[in-house]
Amino acid sequence: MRPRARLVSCLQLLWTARMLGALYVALLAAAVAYVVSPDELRGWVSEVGHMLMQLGLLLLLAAILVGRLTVRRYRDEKEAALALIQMAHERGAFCVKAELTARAVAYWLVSLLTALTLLLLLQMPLYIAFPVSLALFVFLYFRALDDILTSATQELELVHRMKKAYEEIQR
Amino acid sequence: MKRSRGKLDLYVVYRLLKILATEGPLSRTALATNAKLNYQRAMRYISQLAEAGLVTWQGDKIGLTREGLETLKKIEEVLEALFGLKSDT
Repeated sequence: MRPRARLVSCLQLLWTARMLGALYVALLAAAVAYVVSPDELRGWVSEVGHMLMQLGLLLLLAAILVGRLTVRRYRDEKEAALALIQMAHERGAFCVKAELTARAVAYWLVSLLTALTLLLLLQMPLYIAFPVSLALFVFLYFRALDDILTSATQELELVHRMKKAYEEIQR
Repeated sequence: MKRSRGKLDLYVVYRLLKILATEGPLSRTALATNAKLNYQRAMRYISQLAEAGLVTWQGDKIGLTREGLETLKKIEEVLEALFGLKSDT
């Protein structure tokens, strides 16, 4: 992958993590407020909570956009590569870890949707839907592991080399 | 290239060194304009690069030192080794 493309996906993941982190803090605050607030205020707090949940998708889109816009400040592949090197120095293997997490979340979503389909559309009982979706997750993840391990090893090697390169330039 | 104060972005350092290597000594304003940096930011970078001995004042112009040129070459070498991006200095 070219440095600029790699940097775009890295920045998008970074902004996704930041935005979802902020959203979870807000949701946690709403949950605490819901528990401690008097009965007459609970309806209002719960509405705020729902609004925050709906904001999630918007935040994901915003993260994708911010990642794309941020990378426009780099004039060419070389500047993007240097930004990537600096990111590896400052954040270590963040991008590799975030990519692997995003992949695992995608598999989990597939299995969750399967469980919901089995439950709601096919009217299967929970004790069948749950193991089927778990088995699907294990199957998908296990099949992808070869690819995941290979790419993670290569990416971690590159991160290590980038960190060394940064130190070399600093000297 | 030592970082004495504030955070320096590597890509900006590279951009400034590259411009000075290709264009020769430039005035502060010309360098900031050429690098598409705001004047204050460009000045912060230039003073830190001067402290590190990578650039030097030549009258009212800023020029690249031998260390600056070596640093630029080192960056280009690193980029070629890591990403196969051809050096053009």
